[in-house]
Amino acid sequence: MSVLRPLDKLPSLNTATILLVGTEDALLQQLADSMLKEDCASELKVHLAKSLPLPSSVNRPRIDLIVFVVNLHSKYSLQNTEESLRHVDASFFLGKVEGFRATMAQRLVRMLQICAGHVPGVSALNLLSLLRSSEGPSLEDL
Amino acid sequence: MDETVAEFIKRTILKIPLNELTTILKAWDFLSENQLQTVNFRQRKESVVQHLIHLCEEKRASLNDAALLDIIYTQFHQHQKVWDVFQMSKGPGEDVDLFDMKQFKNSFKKILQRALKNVTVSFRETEENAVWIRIAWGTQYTKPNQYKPTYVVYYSQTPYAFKSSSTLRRNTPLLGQALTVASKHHQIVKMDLRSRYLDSLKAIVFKQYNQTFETHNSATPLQERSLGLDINMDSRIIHENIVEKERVQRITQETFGDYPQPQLEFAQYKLETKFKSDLNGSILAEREEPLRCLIKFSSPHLLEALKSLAPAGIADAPLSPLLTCIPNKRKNYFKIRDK
Repeated sequence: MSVLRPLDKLPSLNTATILLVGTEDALLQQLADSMLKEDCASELKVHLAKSLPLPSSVNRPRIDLIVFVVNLHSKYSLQNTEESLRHVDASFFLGKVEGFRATMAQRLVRMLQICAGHVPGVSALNLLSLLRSSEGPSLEDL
Repeated sequence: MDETVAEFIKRTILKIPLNELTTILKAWDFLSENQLQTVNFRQRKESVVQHLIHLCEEKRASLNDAALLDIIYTQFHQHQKVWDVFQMSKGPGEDVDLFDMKQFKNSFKKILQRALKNVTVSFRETEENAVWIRIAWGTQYTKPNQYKPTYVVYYSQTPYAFKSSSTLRRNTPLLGQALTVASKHHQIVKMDLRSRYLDSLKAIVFKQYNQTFETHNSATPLQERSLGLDINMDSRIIHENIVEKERVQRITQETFGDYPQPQLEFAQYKLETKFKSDLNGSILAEREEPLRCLIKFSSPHLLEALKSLAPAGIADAPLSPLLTCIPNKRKNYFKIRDK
């Protein structure tokens, strides 16, 4: 069983890749559209998947950030997320975001840029340790 | 013209929306072209109605004429009624007689009149060998109530009849009897199928729903169209699960077909089953009697909603056969018991 590990591959130049995982394709599509509308110096790529693991046959760039989109009204959506999480290394986990789509898209793009290493002074490793410590900034502050 | 008839016609015409008025009056074919030309349909509705009543009086409209207008109104507004479906059967060894519409109508009317004395029965034949029957019910001592009629649509070349649901249920056995005997059948049974959409009920009962209609979309390549969702042409968005999407689309198409689904508003499941649980020692699991519960799915268009569940990612494909069997089994009422 292949497991996604962070910092596994080499980054591509100025490109930040995010993977959105969730059962409701229309929601993923809308979130992707909102993110791509954001003003962003990096080139964004959004991958949409219903669940993990991803098909292995594809040549894929390094994924900088994975977002699981859960519909809290749907048991099916939650179960799907739980099963998909088994395929992700635990050290990947950063936190959760709730809220309106527009602000969420903005936050995700900023997080993505950090994770892709496009923000000087803040690296993905920083982010992991920052968020783990209780004195660090919360996701909302980013 | 009898006062009650005048009132009845007036109330019926008042129900008709102004934009449908000429169409319905023409279908009624009671007032002549000349008479209709004298009416100014652009007036206020009350004035139009008054003028029309006056014309009906001139022509001496009878109760039967009024009943016919009511039938036509209902034919134009079928969705205002909820329709049940009945299936008749012949006895063993009975021959299939040639259907005689005149004989059917006489026989049907006589049976009801003999039983109730006060009843208004009217007929209107339509295409596909169908006859619309309107029954206004009275009793031995009271005149028929024209404002709570029952409608039956009988397709004479089939054993099926559709009946409008009404609150006067005590007359249903008599109605069933009249229908059965007059159409030379032996037995009548109510099917577990009900909807406001008469056309959809017909399509289900006569198994005519599975025809692919040519739509303006048929020009687009099957691949693109069948994926259903708006595939964003933005090359920055990559769909990882195309294979899974295609599997879901294929299963959905196999189950529901390419054609528009018949329209139903609900499906109801009555469960009488013992409680099943993985946990040991649950109080409910020890219970000997089955639990009773009712599950109802409602939607403006239930079957289309079910069809879109898997492609929308709200449910996994294939769906439960209890949901997908509805048109095939010709039911939307189910009783589920332990085997």
